[in-house]
Amino acid sequence: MSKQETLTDPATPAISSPPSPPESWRDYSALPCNVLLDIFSRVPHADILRGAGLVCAPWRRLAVAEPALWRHIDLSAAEDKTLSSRDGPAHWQAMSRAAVDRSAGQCESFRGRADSDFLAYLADRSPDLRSIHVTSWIYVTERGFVDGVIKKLPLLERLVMWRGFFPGSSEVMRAFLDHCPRLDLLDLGGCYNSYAVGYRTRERCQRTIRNLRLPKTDPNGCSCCVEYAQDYADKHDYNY
Amino acid sequence: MASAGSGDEKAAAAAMITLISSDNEKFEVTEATATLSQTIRHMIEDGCTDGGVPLPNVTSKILARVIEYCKKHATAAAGEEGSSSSFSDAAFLEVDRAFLEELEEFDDAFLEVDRATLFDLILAANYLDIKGLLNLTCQKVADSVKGKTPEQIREMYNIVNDLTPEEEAEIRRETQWAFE
Repeated sequence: MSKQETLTDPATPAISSPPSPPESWRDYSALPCNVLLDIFSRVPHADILRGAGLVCAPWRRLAVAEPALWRHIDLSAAEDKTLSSRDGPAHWQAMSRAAVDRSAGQCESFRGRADSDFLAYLADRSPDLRSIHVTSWIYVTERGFVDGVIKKLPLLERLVMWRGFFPGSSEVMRAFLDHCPRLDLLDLGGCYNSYAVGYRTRERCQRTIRNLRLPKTDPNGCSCCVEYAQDYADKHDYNY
Repeated sequence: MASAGSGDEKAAAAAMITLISSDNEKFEVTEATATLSQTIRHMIEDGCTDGGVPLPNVTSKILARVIEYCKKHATAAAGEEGSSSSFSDAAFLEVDRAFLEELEEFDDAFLEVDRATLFDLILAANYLDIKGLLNLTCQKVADSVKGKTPEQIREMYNIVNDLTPEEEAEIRRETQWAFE
């Protein structure tokens, strides 16, 4: 009997008011700061950078000058997985760097596309960083990775790399053990190892890091070279 | 959640509070409904609700909607508490899910408002400190700006672009990607 009644919400009359006559205008740019912060904290970071954060002066000021918004940066996108680090919109680095800049040294976690240069940029500016999750294919270069990334992240707890190449030499793996004492999850299992890790260091990692997936051997590599590299790594792997 | 002990529940349920809107309309609500607002809860605790609670920032139109929201959510909270003793765990979970679904449907329907009403609801939720309502309304705005360009958002909310030419230039310098 009351089917029609329930279909019409009493609060919204059947004849809806015309869109935005002057008296129904409200100044959304003048929302209180705490409310705007609440709203922005529910908007994906990429949308703040490209959209909401550029709408008007008050919205922009909040987007730029509120480090709390950027403490847990998530710029991951579906297309991360289909593009190599060199492909895709050339501006992803600029966007990611802007996000790091806005965190003003308070960034605690990063999730998104990355390359070696960006990891160094992030590590250099984020002493509180606890978690890195690279969602794109990445080629991590050994040069600068220990000094420029690992040594700068004493609070690192989680590092995940989706796919790519990782320089998992004994030296690099030992650097994790020596400089990131809180490291609890190290997932490089989707990456190929461009080096080889000696068995002593591997065992030490397995004892120390609770959740560990080491980079795997490249199946396309020449088998005798791989064997030689492993043999060399084992012989030169000193247990400090 | 309810601070009253079980013995006082009836008395607490019976206690009525008068809320007075900016245009002087009076609304009688139960204490359970009113105390979803932290602002009013503190007033009650301080004993300054005799003769009604004036809410000079909230119109009767908006206050009616806010009360509608609080009633629904206060009832749901009370229903959950009451049911926990008389049902087995499985049955309770079933009831719980039904409650949540009903609440969700209510919330969705509640948010079917124009931009001006949404704005007023946000300010009222903020002023009255009603966490659930503020979350709900802020989420609505957040969802609406996702994936939108600055110009689309300005159009949607009739926001005037008051960025100075200097700021615009600065943005263009900083954020090349947004304009590519």
